[in-house]
Amino acid sequence: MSFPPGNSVAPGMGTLIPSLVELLGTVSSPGLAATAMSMSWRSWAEEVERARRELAYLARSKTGIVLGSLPRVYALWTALSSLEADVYLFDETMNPESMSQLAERHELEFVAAMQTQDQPFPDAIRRRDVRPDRSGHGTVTIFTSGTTGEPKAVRHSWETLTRPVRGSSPSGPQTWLLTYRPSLYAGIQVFMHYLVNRDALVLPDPGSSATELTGLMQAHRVTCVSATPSYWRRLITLGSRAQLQRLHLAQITLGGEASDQALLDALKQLFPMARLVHIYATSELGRCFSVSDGRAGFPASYLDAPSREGVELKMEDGELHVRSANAGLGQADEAPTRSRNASWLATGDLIDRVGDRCHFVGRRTELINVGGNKVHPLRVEQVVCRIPGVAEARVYSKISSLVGQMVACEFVACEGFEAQAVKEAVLTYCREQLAPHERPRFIEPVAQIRLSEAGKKHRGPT
Amino acid sequence: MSTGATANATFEKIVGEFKVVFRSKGLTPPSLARETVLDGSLGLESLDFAEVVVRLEQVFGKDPFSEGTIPEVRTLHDLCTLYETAA
Repeated sequence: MSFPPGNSVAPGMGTLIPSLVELLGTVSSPGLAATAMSMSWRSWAEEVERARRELAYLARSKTGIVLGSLPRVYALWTALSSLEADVYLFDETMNPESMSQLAERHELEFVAAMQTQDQPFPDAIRRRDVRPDRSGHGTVTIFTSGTTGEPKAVRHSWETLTRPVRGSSPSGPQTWLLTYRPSLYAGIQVFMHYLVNRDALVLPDPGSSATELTGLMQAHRVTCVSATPSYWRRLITLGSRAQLQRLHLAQITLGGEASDQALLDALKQLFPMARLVHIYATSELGRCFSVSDGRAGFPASYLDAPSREGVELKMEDGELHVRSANAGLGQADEAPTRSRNASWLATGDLIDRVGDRCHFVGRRTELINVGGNKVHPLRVEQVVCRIPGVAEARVYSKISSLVGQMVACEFVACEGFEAQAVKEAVLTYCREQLAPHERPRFIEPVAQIRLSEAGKKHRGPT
Repeated sequence: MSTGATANATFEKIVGEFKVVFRSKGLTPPSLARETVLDGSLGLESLDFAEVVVRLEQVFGKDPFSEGTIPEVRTLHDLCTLYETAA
């Protein structure tokens, strides 16, 4: 018996989660593993039941949960959702001050934070001094990783979060590595996939090095990895290729940023047996589409007709607009919307249609304005990454009093290359390939490109 | 009032940044003197001057071009004076 994939009937939380958990109790596969601990499915299901009993007083409350690398906190979350609490997902790496501001703004009655894996559930609950509001419906609020300004509070339910989950792999249970923060949409997708298919999930410590990650994947025999292109690039650049090639990856998923052809080719070469998929999803729209032909961009035919999943795409003024059946329920501080009647949303992602293919050219907000000329940092990055000796690059803007903004670039040199020589090569090649306003004027070799909380490159001005 | 030594240091730093910009354009830097006129005859475009100004902000920690008024700069000497007198 299997849990129906992409469950489209909307069961109340009262039935969806218990039936899921009941199934889990019968599974003997490994379940959840963190760097130093693991939890079987059976004990997972028992912990959900225990949390339901011990925390019954949190039913229908508004509760924040700090997710991290302790496996039992996921049982706690599942239990609270089945008690129809409206949960707000925080992350252990979040700064405590912003966490308490969000708790304040959303009038959360409780915050659950586990300190140790064996901590009794009631000890992990802190009551906040607010007027209790027990009108919960089992919603799940995600705070998006906005690179600028306030994080948006996007509301989902277990139904909208599990709907895009695909059925189990024909080759049996898989072992996933969670590379995303567990509190963000991409991380939750991996978690739901693991839960619905009763796969195994490995939670690395935040800040693990490429070598530690590869070692962890080897130790747990990870078969599926979903990560941002930047994360993959870092793993390939800083990890040992010989060690990576020893992994038996069946599935490689990329998401959160545009995947370029060079990276897709490098992954195909390193892992010829793996299914290579890149996904387009956002916190608000949910999973929109995936591409598995190994080519960057997506088939232009996706613009012509809605997908089987009920996702429609269109291009307006060079920007991708989406209407998605997998969308969330709107912003947490607005009245809930029915996702089925979702409206069109501008994604902020600029696309270029060439023949039968659409390519991502960058984010609207990341466009660099050099004296009135628009520059797409992504395009410049792709040019820089073609240069031998460049492992990774980040193109961003620098403020200029005379022309508004100018293009800057940092790069990581490949092993065995001298950074200064690569810098000269970048200068020369960009001079030949790019217009004077597109050419990076400030080029710095760095040891590593800094990524955002969501594992993405930050291209804002500095 | 700046002393002759700091004025000289300012001049050398500015010339140094101009040389970087020439080289990154693939040009051999010409010899630059205080009287050198900063116009198109040097082989630099307006974007290149903008680049020099961003670089000089990194060197001196100030940008006299960001203060609302457009300073009049004809020669390298004018540019030196501008950086020496800017707050």
